[in-house]
Amino acid sequence: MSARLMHVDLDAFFVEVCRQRNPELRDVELLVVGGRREGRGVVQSASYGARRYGVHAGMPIGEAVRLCPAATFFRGEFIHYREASRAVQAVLERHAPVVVMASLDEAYLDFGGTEGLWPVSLLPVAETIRDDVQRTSGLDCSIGIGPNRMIAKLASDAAKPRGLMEVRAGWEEGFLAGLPLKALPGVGPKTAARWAELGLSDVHQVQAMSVEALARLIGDDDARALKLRAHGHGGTTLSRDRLPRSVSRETTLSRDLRDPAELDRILALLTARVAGQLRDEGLVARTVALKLRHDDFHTVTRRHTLPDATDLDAELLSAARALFRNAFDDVRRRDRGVRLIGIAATNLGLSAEPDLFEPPARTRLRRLTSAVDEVRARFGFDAMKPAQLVRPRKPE
Amino acid sequence: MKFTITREQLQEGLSAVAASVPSKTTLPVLSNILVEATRDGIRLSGTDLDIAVSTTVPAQVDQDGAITLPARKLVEIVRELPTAAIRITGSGEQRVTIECGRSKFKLLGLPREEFPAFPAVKFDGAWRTRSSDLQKLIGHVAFAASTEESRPILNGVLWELRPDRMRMVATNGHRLARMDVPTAAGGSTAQADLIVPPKALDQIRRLFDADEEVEIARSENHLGFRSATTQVFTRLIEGPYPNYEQVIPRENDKTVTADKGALTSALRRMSIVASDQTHRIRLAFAGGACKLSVQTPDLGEAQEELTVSYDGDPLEIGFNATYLLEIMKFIPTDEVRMTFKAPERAATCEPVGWNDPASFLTLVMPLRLVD
Repeated sequence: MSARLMHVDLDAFFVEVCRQRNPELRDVELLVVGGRREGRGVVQSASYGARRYGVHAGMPIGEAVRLCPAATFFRGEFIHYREASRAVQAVLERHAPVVVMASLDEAYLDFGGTEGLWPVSLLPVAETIRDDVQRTSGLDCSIGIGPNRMIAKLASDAAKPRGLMEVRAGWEEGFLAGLPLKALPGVGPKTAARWAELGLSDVHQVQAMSVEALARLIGDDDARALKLRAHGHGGTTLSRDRLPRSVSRETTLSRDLRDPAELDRILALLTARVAGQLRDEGLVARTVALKLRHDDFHTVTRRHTLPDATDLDAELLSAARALFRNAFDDVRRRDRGVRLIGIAATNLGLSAEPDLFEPPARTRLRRLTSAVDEVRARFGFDAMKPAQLVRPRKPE
Repeated sequence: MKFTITREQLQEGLSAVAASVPSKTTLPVLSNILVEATRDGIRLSGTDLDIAVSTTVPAQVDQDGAITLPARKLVEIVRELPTAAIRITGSGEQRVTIECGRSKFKLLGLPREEFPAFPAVKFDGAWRTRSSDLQKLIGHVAFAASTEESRPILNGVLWELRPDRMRMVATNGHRLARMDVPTAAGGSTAQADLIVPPKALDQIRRLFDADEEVEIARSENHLGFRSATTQVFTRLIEGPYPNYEQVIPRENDKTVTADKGALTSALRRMSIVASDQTHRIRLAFAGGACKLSVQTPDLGEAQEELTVSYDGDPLEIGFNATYLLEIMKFIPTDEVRMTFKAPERAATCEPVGWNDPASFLTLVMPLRLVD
């Protein structure tokens, strides 16, 4: 019996959540979420209207402005996204035995063991889920069903928006034959362009070739992997209990900065956000990584491993600051400005185990932090900040 | 070097020493056992530089001498030989001939000069104790030491020597075990706090017979143990050990007594459905009952009720089931007593009605319960 997996992908999730939270955006057809128009961040999500102009996620805001000058640009709140995502997860858990959120806006559902209930097709269940998600959260989703993760995801991509598509076991090759290579996971724009120069652009071409012939074109390893994907092989396991790899925040600055004190404030804010999310998800980090992009796009990352895993702002920040001092020397020596700064907590573990020998200073810090968290849970993140960050807000 | 020895005695000596020979090493001579033929018999020694073990077995020595031989090969050869006298003859500095019945081996070794010298520990004014007391302490406490690298001091077992008692304490920061054994006067009455690697303690437990008297002495960085035939040396871990007295709860006012076997079985059943990462389970005490339960998202849940003796206020508390199960393994009685103060405070766990002069206490930190 083949596995039966479902991929649920929320349509224009970030855009829709912003619309729900900000009624004035409701009728804006050309909406780009991720940063303000004059800002220099990247696009998180674009409304379907804006996508017609070529705007897509991951694109610098500046470029989106150029492509679609009439669009409204908006910067959303992470906390709103997370709330919406959790609401959807709760709906999904009512319908499927195993639900794994792959990110805020997509989930894999495993229907293994439900063959007795739905012996032939999962489409009726998918329809119920789509309607239930819409009714409960007001969000649209597209759903793909397939014998493995890759097929389920490609099916949901093909079904977008608001569509349902099922590819049953045995029909993978026919489904894939109609897709371009760049639709496959692991084939990014650069790889796709390189292969296109060799005359390889569609999945059906790869299906028709032998591995040996393909290897002569693109090398042994790539050929084997691509051949498997082109014939519809993919993973079927959904791991529950898996820890995220990292929790991170980064920001592209509204203008290039050369003042370390100003950068330090931003670093403190980003670190506070990362630490807050770690605590919220019951995680602790052993490693802190700093990312600094110079104004000539030269990018540096530095990491430091702590003696003890932590979720406390102060401990993460002191590590982040030490990394920053080092990395900033470089900026100075090259006489550049800083365009982007980011902080990531990695090497994550669960924070469940209290420590018998916690130093009293750390106990106090932990109590203080949990008091701050309680205030923030009621009044929002900005209700309480380090004094260093409290100052008249400058327009971005 | 020339000597004759029975297969049993050589095998006994080798098995005592072989465990201290590292399986992988960058220093080739450490894979070897030092074999010394003297008037007293055959002395066999092995070390991984952290722990060194040597033992003497009787043999008929015709000519003194010494050599180091590859431990694994020597053990394998002796294991496969027939039960008969084994004759070992040195030929040159780096080779021996092993003869037994109609078998004959030539084995290459390394000169004894390459073998590291054992730590210089003087046994004058040594502490003296019965091996059975050491075995009891080690057997109940060493399990609780940490195996993580983040706090090296917790990788050791604290051993307090006092005029009237010995105490061992081990903890990984989440659970702790402590045992006291009263000692009869004998040997030195000097006080000492030693932090000993559990690996060395394991060897001590294994190598000395329960009724042997063991002498213990220290140098600056090393600790030595010796009986009439066997010596063990280990590196000491440098202190200070954290103040464990301070974390032992004294205000726990809720007490439960339970049947260890029944509690263990229930914990084992609950732990099947506990998260692989946190092993978190929930215990709810009220009236004469303990309700155990576990709920793991994406996996399932389980409940069980156990009759216990408990008359405190109702209490719900979370634990790592693995820690509790491990502690139960070392509780020496059929009944176990646990005490609590509050869901975020350390709980204790000890034997009930233990007919032994020793006293044993374990404690474990609860896990936060998330609803």
